[in-house]
Amino acid sequence: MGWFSTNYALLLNGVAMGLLLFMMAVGLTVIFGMLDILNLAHGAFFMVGAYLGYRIAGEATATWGSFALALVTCIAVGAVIGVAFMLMTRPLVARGHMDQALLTLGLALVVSQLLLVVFGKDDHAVAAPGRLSQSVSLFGSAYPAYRLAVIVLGLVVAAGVWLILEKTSAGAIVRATVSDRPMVEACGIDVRTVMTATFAGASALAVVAGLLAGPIQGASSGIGDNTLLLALVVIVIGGLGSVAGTLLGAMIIGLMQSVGVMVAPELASFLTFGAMVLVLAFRPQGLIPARVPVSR
Amino acid sequence: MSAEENPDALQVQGLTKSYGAVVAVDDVTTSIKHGERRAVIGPNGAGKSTLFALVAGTLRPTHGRVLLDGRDVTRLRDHQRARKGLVKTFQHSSVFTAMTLLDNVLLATQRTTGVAARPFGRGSQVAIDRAHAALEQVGLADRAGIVAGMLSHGERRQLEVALALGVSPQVLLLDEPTAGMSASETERFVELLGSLSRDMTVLIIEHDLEVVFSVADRVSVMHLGAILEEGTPAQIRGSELVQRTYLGIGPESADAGVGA
Amino acid sequence: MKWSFAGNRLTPTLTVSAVVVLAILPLVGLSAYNVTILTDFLAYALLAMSINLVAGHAGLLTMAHPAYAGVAAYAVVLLSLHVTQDGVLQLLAALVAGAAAAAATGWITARATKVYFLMLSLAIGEILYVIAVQWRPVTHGSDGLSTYSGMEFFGSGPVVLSGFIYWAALIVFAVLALATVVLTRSPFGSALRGIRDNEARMRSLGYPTARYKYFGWVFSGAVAGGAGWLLVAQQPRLVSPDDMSFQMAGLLLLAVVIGGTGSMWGSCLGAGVLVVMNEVVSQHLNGNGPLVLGIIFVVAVYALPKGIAGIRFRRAERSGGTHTPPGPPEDPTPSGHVEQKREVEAS
Repeated sequence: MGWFSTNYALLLNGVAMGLLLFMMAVGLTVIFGMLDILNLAHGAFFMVGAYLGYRIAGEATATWGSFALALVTCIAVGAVIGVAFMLMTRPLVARGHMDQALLTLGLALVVSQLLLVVFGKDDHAVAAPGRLSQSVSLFGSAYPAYRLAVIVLGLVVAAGVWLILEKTSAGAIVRATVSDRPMVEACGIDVRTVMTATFAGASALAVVAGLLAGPIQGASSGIGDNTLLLALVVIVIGGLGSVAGTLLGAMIIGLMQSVGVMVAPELASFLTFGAMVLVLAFRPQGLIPARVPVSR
Repeated sequence: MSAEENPDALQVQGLTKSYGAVVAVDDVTTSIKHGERRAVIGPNGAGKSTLFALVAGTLRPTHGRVLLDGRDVTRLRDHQRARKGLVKTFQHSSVFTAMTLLDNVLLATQRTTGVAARPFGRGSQVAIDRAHAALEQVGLADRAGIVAGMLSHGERRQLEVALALGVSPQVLLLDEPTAGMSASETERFVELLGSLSRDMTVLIIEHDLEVVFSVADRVSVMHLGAILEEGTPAQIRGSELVQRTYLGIGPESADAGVGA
Repeated sequence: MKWSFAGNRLTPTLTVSAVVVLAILPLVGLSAYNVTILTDFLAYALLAMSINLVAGHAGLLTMAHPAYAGVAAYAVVLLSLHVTQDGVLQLLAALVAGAAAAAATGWITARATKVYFLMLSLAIGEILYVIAVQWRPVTHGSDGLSTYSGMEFFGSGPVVLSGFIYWAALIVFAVLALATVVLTRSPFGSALRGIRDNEARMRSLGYPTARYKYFGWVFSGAVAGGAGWLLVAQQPRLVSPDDMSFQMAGLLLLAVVIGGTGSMWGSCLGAGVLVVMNEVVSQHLNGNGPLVLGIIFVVAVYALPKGIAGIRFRRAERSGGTHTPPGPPEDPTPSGHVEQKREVEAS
């Protein structure tokens, strides 16, 4: 217990980061599992959320109102971007998944550059709303209240995602589409609507994740790419297309990044990508394989 | 028979492939003589394609051995067996659709004329000539410059045979070559099979029993992963055991129909 | 205007003319700065060609090659700082370093295909990037590593005039580019394309496909190494981890695709677009070159399915043709992991 009270901050940081990564990556993995599109613009979505947070919620201070407004805006913007992306990748379906992935790469560049054009190239911060910008006393030292809120919210979102996917008929349709799209089509369900809605939801989650990460990471030009890389590691380790795997992978990477950076800073990044290499090379279905087979 | 004399082009001994509790190929032992045409028939799921995969080396057996010309090749990988003359075609037509027919077969003949790995130059005239010859043999010589993707289904199967011929196979494994062919395409294919040299040994999985009876010297009937019976086409046709098994499975296997 | 593009390849006349034009450019009054940019163009063009070799001709889309070039560049600078200023030796070191980095990581070519491979190569590139950032004693981390000594060629003194460096660079570029093109038009190149289109088929014909991919990969690594040498040829001879970042890898991949995967001169064009946007136009666009670049890429992906190289009209059928244009293949299968035991579905 003694070790814990001195190091709890690292663990909690790791958990918070892991949950944010989960929010960001779960959309990426579901899009890949359902549409076979590697959406390399997902990091740019995250970036959008952070910058919206800076502009709408506020940089120095934020009220609950402004933060709530930012949240709603993020959800809306995310959904719109998701639908737009879905429409943009449609014409390339015949050209194959690599072309679609490359398109998202190009779009990622456009989106992130547009953000810099609109918001400028300087780094910015995002304020936590209201009382959350302060610290609470935990195990005898101060810990940022906001991160605790992120953990709570993150767990709520994770639970929500699980509930929706496992307990609602809409979620069942989504899971079925990931597993066996032709079958779902044969049941008379408009798969395109399902896919568009999923893309919208996934994008919205990523944008929101960026907003929620704002008070921790800020809004700067590099966060899109950095987060995308981590998200890719997460979904690979967890298992492409697998939501449970993404949660597990996100927690592992989140803890590795926060604890690892303290314990063995030189090794942390190396291990992160090393793990990605090992999984891709030797266990490509990931830690918790999705029910859909890896190569169809 | 002395040890040095090995009249069998291909031997499988106790070949078994199981996936956990499921046994796809069950202790199959058989010998195929040089120049023989052996048909492997049986209902779907009998393990025929799995057997081919084990023989060709794209699958590793759980037990058993494969001997090519008396030499144990069980440890060899698929491409190594191909280099030794054991060549398999694919159940689902598998040619290089973006390349011309000539380029397709060139990939094969290049390999056997030793220039395949040359990092410069144009390849050898010998390879080109052999490619033309192979195309000639299967009846596609006049379409050499056409992109393979434009071929009809039957023509693609012919091209596949040309590809196989290009590497001068000793044992040729044909996996349901006439599936999806029209009656005339099938006829032409049977002629092609008949024209193949007896230096080559041919194994063929077939559902079309007319083809089997036209082409095969001997027939192996597979059922549930094992060889049910072996014999000449006439023997098999008359076998009660085979009839019972086929009738017990379903009418489609007893159809001597022409696929389409 | 009669342009004959047999199978979308530049005729020798056109290529030689292009090289001649490139050679005389410094003489027509370009500033030293612009000559440096031209050298950068050569570097990126060569890097794009190395990527195109494995991506277009072997179906291995890679984000690792900029890292190989980076490793080579670091090797050159380190050599210059500690051992020798001989330009030829530095070039050799770059080629060997690039090849070695590719050889050490080339095992991935046997482990995955398509999207999985892309991610695997991305991870490899990132690992090398992380090493460049964190191995401060050797690489000086994010500050980058630089040398002020000019290269010496065959006993000359240090050559620092950008024009002369440029000509040396042009020679190196031409030789390596030619080697690459020769390789793609050789039987080995055909085999690679066969493997790209249908690996199982090639194996059934007796090709040891893993070996072919690996050798192609190592060769392309050497070419990328040459690009690394070009990157640090001109003063200031500086290499930093940014040269091997994920962003750089993405841009290069896009450049290859926009030029036309499979077409070597297309890759050069794509690199040209990259350099023009980043360096030249950026100045006139308030530094928004990358944005315009992104827009161009997106438009190109839609409008030019086979890239710039695909624009030219191709005769649909050639009799007795022994050269199929190495265009991008159809991509019917979704993900594409090399099944570990090469299992085949039982019928």
